[in-house]
Amino acid sequence: MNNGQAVASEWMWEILLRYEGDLLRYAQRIVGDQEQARDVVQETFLKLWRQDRAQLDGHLVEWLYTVCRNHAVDVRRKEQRMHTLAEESWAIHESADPCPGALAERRDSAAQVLDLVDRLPANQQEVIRLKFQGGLSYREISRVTGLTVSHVGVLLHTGLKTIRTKLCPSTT
Amino acid sequence: MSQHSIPSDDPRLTAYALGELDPTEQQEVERLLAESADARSAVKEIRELAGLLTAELKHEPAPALTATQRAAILDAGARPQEAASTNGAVSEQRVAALATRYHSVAQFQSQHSPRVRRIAAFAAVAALVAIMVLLMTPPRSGRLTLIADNSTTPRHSPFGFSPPDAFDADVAWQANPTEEMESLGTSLSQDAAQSASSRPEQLHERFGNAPADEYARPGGARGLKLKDQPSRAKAGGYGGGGGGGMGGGIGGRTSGVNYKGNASGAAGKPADGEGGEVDYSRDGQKVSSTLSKSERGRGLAMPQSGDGAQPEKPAIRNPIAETKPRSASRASDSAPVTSSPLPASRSRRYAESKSGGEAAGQAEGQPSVKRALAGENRGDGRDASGKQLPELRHKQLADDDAKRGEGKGAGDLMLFAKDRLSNEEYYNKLREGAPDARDKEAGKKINKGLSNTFGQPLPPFGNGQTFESGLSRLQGGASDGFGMSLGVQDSILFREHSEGLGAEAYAPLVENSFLSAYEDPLSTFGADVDTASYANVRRFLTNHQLPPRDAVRIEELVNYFSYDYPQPAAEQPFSVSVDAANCPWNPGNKLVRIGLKGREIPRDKRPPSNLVFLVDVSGSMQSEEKLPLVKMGLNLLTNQITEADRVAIVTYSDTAVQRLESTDGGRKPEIRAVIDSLQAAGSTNGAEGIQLAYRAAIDHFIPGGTNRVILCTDGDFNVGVTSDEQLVQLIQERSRTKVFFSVLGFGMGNLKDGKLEKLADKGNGQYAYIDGQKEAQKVFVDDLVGTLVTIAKDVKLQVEFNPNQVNSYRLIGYENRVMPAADFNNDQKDAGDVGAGHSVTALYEVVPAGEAPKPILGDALRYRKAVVPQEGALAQELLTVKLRYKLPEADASTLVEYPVSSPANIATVADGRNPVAFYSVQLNRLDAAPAADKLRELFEQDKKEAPVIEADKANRRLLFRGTAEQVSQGQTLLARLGETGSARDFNWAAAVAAFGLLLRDSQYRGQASLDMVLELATAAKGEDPTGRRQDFIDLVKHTKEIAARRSDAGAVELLGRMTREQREALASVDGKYKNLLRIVEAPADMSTYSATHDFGRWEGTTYSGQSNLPKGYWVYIYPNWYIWGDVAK
Repeated sequence: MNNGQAVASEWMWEILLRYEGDLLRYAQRIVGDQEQARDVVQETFLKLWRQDRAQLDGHLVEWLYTVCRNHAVDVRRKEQRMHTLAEESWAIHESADPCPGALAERRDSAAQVLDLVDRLPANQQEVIRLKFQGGLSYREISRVTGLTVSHVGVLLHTGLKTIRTKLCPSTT
Repeated sequence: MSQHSIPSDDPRLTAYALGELDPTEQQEVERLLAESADARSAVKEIRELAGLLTAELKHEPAPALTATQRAAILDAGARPQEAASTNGAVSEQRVAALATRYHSVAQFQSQHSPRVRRIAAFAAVAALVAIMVLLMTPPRSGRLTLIADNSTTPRHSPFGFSPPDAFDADVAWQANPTEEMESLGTSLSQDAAQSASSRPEQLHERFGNAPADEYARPGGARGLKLKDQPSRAKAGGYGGGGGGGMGGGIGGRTSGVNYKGNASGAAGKPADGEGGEVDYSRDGQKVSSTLSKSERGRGLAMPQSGDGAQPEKPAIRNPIAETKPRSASRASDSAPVTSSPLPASRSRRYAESKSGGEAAGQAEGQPSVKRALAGENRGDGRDASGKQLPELRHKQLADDDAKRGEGKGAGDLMLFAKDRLSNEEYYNKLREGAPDARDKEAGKKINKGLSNTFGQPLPPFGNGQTFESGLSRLQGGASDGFGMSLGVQDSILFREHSEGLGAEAYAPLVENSFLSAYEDPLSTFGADVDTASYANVRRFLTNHQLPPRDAVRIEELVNYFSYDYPQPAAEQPFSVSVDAANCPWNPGNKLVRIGLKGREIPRDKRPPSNLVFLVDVSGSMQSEEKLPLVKMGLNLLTNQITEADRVAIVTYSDTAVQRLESTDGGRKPEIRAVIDSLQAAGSTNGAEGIQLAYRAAIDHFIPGGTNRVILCTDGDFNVGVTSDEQLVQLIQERSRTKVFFSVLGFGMGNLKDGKLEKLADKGNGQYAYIDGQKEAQKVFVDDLVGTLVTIAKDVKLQVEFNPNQVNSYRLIGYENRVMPAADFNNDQKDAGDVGAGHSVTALYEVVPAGEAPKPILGDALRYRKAVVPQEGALAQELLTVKLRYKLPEADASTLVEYPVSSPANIATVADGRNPVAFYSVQLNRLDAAPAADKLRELFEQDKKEAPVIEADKANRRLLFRGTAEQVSQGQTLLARLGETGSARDFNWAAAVAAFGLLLRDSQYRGQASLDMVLELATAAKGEDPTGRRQDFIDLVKHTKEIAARRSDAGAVELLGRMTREQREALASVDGKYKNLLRIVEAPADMSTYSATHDFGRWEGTTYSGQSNLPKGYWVYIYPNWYIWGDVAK
């Protein structure tokens, strides 16, 4: 590889490493299937290379999430007729944990938090993840999801409130 | 106050708290905050929650792209015009190069700037290199298994690296003076802390021989099946975690060399938890196994002598013939029993660290359980469409493991030098360089009687000194069984190791100590027919490692073999046999063997079975020795079953799926098809699997038949919604459905032995470990009926010792199964299950009573008489065995009692000259009196003096009493009469137990040595139709080799740590020689002379390429010869 390419590869590596996990998590939430999520993310990155790097500067994260989301939603729509796990995991679901009182026994509120996040409605969950896992701002989230900024705010607020309420008993 | 214009419950507050509020609204919100405490606290809470969420979400298990996908991406990036194709073929080197770089660069996924990242990466890497150097220096006690050797591939090498090997020359030489280590120490502790948080797997990649072919697969993301990555990853995972764990350890090292005493050394006395010391010196003279200093002098060491008090024939009760359960226990017994302060039952603990991180994430895919539970027989989405999931889980696993702090394994750390030599190669090199012209035989002087734990002669000096004593004196510390001094760092390493290799987890065991029959006459434990520990130990040894101490459960070693116990009487599920003889490793003591034999059921009479195979098909099961072996075993089983049986298969990974509905055994092709189609991928959601499996079993319950769920797994429930405790509870709950539950463990490197054993125990089942085809054959074919059919559950034993006959006793093994005396009668308390034809053997080491029983704790009790006068038969009883069991579908237990009389007066005072041996044997075929007569005849024919032979007619037992030769001759002659079983079996059991004691480096091992084990075992082998006994003998020989190598290795490491002055002092053989003339380097000589050797005078002048050497006294201290001029007077 010549120098220019080497430098580019370096950058790619870093991007890949930095965002791969987050994007995969995000995509998986949407499509439900791990393997499909991987495809989606792979496509996203491949698209990335075709972009002008300069253009993206400062908007990289947002761009990544947007493209990823678009892909993922596409995939999901196509797969819908197969009625795969995607539907279920996208919707609200209760944990199938068989043991009674398992939640109550969990004294670790940190673990509880994640569990509570999982139980939120899909759109709230997505926004929360974009904000706290992806580190996007309200505006970026709004651009990625196509919702208005205030809608994003409302979703976040409601989601957080739910979590706070549920956490309250254990966090005196 | 003015009304709040903004209600507290307003998204704008949240936005404000998160710093996202539109500036136009800022003012209003701030006014609200100024006015309302509620609002302020709300904002505070929101911020806290935000922080928590950010932190936790970052730690959510992160999936990863496959390596191929990554490669494709990067490749496309390098050539943007081709970016459209995701299927670009990638060259092997490029991929490997990328992979390496990726991993070495991927140190931190944090926000650090690249430069910081690189420095930190380098530092962490350097730290870990250093840690590995230090870890690789072979340890003292031979207990430590070290790092993997990449170069050779021994028999089991599914990971692509060979298992750890004891000795590594390169590294040993590098592990040198303390100054180096000191400076390392500080930087290490810092870096280790850092590196623990980094993604650990890249260390593995960096330093190990990452098989390039893994990345070399062309093609797209689909249709790929990568080789076993997870286990490699696990190895890597522990590299990093090991760094973290070691940081503290290394710090300790730098504080100088301190040594701790060890039980086997002269200085050490084991702290005996139950009171009383047990001192087993190994110098050949002191053999006392007494309990306090005062008793030592009383010559109890010698076994019983002649019979001053040979009373009339003791009235005998028939322990075996009693078939009616006796309800009342004998309350009027020797000692008041009710409130004896038994040790609290030693509950097992899991050795794993907390699973806080497990709760996180991976909730995907759960809804399919609903469908699965509804009985639909669909494959999981992937299989149905024929795709296979490529799996690259190491990141995820490593993250999980790093989270759970399991990174403590010395064993899985990879080597850092690619040109590392294997043991064989090293020794070959040594031999090439060995000097000639030296008479090896003359040169070797071995001190007999002095040996290390495994009976290897210690490197000798003249003057009866050993390396051990010389070193000890030099360094002021005691040494261990291998003659190596112990240091702080060793103890840390030892502790690390005893928790298992890397990701393996063993429940820690504290050995049973000697208990006073006077104070604690009741010994209660649950039966155990698990055999996993033997197979597991075998696995370690075949891979040239000593097993972790806690992996050795002696009762499972002994129970692995079948013994010739008599069949139970007609309707009884059990027969009980009791034997006693001298204890081989502590001549003053006796060994009592209690044998329980379950009724055998012929194959064709086997009740119909309803089986559910619950197979772990998570990613970690991919390796050769796991899922493929499971499949083989299941196929073997399928061959054995009939139309009356039913088989169902449930698999679990991310979700649980019923792959095969309960199918009758006649439809073998269907069953086999499903078995063969099993693939491994995904995470491990054990709870779902268990639920589904039990459901399947209950749905097809066969009353009066066998209903069993058989779990096949490596135990690595690394992701799931349930913790270990919850799983166990689940099993326990399910066990009430009368469906039994057995566990078959597979694999290595992440075997969760402790957890699996517990699951089997709670589930009313057995735990076996399948380490290869042979074992699969044993479990699925040979022992099929035993594996499938349980004849009794919750089997408990309680032995009561008569303090007038027995001073103290020690139960060998069963540490996990011991329970308080009160639990014996409590049917709510679980115990082990016994399958058809299984036998359970328990060994007690017994100290016969002296003139009067003396309490261990020193003072006689005030309110309880020391000796309860006993009359007649009672006085002659040695012990009573009580047995409780439940029939398979019963809820209430049945009690059977067997008092066992002893020969008169097994407690005596030695006469010093002719130690008297005694042997009490259960006859299987002959009756007592005729047997005794025949034996006496045989003795006459052979013109040998017979021992005293007593016949216990009612119990069909014989007692020999005489000199050791007479007794042993009696055993031989008994064999001639066809009563081969007992004597041989007894010795076999004793040999295996001794081996177990050695492997555990037990403080109670007494004079046991590998040679003793070999001697006993070879003599007791018998016909051995299955060949398993011969395998054991081979295993012991193999262990000898391993031990020999370690001994040298340990010495080398120790020498490496010494200063030049210390080495010279050692070389003078503690001042025997003086006037050092020359030092000649000859590292290769270690293969001939071992690490230290006092050769004596040599007149040669040419050696090792040097000439004109002075004549003198040659002493070898690795790696040099020291030539001394004079012998000091």
